[in-house]
Amino acid sequence: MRHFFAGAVVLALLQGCAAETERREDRGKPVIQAYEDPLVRSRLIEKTESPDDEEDAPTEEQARLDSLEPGDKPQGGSDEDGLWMKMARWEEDLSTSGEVVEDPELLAYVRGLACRLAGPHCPHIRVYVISRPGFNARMAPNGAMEIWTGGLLRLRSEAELAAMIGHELGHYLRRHAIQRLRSTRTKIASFLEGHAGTGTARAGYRDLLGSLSGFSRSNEREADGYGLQVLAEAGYEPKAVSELWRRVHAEFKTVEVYRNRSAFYATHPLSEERAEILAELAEDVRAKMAAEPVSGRDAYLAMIRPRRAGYLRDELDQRQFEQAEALLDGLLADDDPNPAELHYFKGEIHRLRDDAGDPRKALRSYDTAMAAAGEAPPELHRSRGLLLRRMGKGSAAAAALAAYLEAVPDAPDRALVADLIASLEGQ
Amino acid sequence: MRAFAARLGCLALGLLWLAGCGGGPGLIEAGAPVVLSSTLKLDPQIAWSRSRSGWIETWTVDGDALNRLEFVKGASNGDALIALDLEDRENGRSELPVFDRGMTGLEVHDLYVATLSQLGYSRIATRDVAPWQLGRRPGFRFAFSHVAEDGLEREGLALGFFDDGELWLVTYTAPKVHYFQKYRPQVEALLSSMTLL
Repeated sequence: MRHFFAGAVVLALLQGCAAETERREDRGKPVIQAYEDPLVRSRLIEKTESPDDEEDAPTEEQARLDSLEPGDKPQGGSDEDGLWMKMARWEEDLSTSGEVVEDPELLAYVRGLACRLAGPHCPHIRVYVISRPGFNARMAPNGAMEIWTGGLLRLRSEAELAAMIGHELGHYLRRHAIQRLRSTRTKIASFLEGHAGTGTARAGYRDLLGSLSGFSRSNEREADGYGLQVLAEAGYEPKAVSELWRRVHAEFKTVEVYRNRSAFYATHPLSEERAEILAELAEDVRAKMAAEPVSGRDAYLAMIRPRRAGYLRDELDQRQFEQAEALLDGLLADDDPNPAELHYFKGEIHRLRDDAGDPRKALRSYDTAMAAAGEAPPELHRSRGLLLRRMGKGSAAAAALAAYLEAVPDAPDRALVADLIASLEGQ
Repeated sequence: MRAFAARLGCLALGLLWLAGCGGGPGLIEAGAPVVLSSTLKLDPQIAWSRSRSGWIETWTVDGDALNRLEFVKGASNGDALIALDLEDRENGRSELPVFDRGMTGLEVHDLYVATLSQLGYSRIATRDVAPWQLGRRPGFRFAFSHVAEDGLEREGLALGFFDDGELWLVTYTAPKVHYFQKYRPQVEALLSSMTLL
């Protein structure tokens, strides 16, 4: 039971997220006050409350929690203090992990935006970019934020990145982790009391686990609202929030097995309804903005574009082909500046899956990539050569592999590629 | 009584068979040649601990986190290149990419990289990817490095060849600091001693 409790606590602390955001300096008042704007708050709750949410409703104790003020730390010896200490150890491990991205330009960009959004809380927020496929971001209660490269891959603009960061900041400032911890404790105590000697422990345990996964829906709604508010205050397009949710939902629902495994889905009960509600709220928020909101699309794409092939390769390495295809189709449908790269990766999906009909589709995608705008990775020629060889077209395969060596003279696999070319030419 | 003795004998024979083929832990003795799957003969210079799981066999001296030789012994269609451990399975990693008999050395190289990526390793890099052969069997070799989730950087060597369409792959992996070099001479001697039966 001790291990279970520790696991539940960690689950409660490391929530996957993604949402909305923005800074509030322009309004000259602290972020959380801005979020607590009665109009926005009441409309959010009114629009998102549903009868089956009763279990998620904040308890009286949770509702009493004040938001963090800049520099606030838990009282020594409190449960929240223990939580922060635990997360400090987690953060220490994270900071030395092999997954931490060490890319000064990207880090400066992401951290700069987070700092802008966090305003006076900036010195107390630490953002880590983690090299990991899949869509997620997480916030620890002590101010450590984790953003996955798989998340960056799926965003389309600075506004969407701001949305994601703002949502996470909402969890931090509203102290959702300690709320969740206390709620967890209450539920476990209630479980133990309710099932002692009744023979119903197994079913109760399952229900309990379900109720402990991730932040509660009320926490998520609060973070949604906070994110939306700060997003608008920073001048970004409020519709970015609902667009992001809708797109990610469309991608992830394609693969049942992935949905079950995804940290994102474990912690974010997504629904189209949620996206619709956020879209309606965005209209309200947008109407109040003094200036025309911006998306920051160009700046975002300039940062991500040179890094995207690596992120896409990481996705493909997971061999979740349907989900990867949905991701690529989504990018292609959105006026992407480098369709050649995307068509190349679509070809890779077909080549690697190698089901009936896939080789032809792969070849078609590679050909499309070579004719499309933008620039496909030079590895396209290598992939095309390997595919043609499998299709029994030896001389065409040799020519494609030779094109690869010409495009990448210092390729690390040059010797083996040259050996394969010689073997194909000798046939 | 005679029936009981016969049953006991059968049980003993069964256990012996399981010990030989099933894959419990064992010891590789220094100086005693080893034959894998009646195909590959090796001459170890030092003693290794040995464990087997299906078509994959693992040898280590100090524990497989510190030095690990893995032998993929004739993978066929649908076989993965790395044996998942309990921790991998607990982390939901149950479906590794798999080999198929039409692959070239380049594709096996890519498959190995994808496998490492799926197991959660980062900063995966390969170098010196080149042809190699064992006897008359065509093959390939490459060196690799990666960083684990806990930040530990490891280096590795891989040698592979195809035997009647099946893949044989031998990899040596150890932390870059100290351990990779610690047994490297013995590993290279072992790899040089490989002969086909």
